[in-house]
Amino acid sequence: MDAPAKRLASGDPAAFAALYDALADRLHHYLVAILGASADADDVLQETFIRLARNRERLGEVDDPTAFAFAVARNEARRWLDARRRRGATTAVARDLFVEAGCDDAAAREAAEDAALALAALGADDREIVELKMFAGLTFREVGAVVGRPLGTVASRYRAALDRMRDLLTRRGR
Amino acid sequence: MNDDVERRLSGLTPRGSPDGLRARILRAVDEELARETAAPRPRRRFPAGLATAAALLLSVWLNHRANQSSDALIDRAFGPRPVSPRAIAIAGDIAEVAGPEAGRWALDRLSVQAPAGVADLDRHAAELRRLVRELALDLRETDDETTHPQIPQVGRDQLRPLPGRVLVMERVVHGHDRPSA
Repeated sequence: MDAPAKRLASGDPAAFAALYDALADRLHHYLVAILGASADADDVLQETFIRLARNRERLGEVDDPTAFAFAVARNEARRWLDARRRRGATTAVARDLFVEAGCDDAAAREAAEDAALALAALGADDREIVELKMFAGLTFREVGAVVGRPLGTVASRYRAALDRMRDLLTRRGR
Repeated sequence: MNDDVERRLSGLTPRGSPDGLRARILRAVDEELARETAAPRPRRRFPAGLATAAALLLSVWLNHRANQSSDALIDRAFGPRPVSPRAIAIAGDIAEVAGPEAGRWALDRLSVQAPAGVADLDRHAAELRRLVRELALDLRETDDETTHPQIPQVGRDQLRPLPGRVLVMERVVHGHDRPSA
């Protein structure tokens, strides 16, 4: 067990602060893409870190703490979505995924909105794979570990999803 | 072709987590860690290994008691184990040569597996006949009220003794080979 993992497993608050600083932005973006709302992503991110603290022994045992944290976040997001579905609520399209969506430059704003809409047009599984690979910066192997699919399947679905996004972006650009 | 899309997407800046969220989440994490430290998880009161060992010891002790009880019952039913006159003669010879202590030891050893004489076999046979008669009567009493069929081939399964009875009889037959305590 390396030193940061050992500190996390022993419940060192400073180690959890370091983990937050390393992963929070990427996890939050991923959760917004899945849940559609930033406020929901805030709550689920908090639940994710509480669960990581509760199961901190596992953090010391896993080979890849980053993939493990994303897997925990994914489980929490799914639980959140199930509860929302039981209440009959629908999931909104996440439009403010990128910083450029709020800037004054019209072209950049439009590009950000197009990308967000193209992502939203994908199926939930493909959107998740593109999000994890492209914006969370995970390797195909890590993405496969998070979503529970083989590496080859993840890679082929990623390329197919990019094809669909290219079509959508081209159509919107006309 | 996909490179274009990747380049286009990578030119965008993903929005990060809100500023105030860090303090809120880390406070919640600290509370969770403090709660876990203050109230450690309850340990199992009866560890599985200890419980298994205790159950094993208990079963060994119960088996020993059951054997003792069974031996006592058999001794009560058949009386003390007969010692062969030949064994007594050999033990007497040993006592003369090596002393009374060695003679007693030899008698003990020889009487462990004393060969059954003709009288013993007759006694066992009579005992078996008595047991078979009792068991047959017992079966008739415990069966339902219907009478046995007149044709033996039809009702032979009903007349056949239960497996448990056979084991009891086998035990009686082989009882004389049982080593003494």
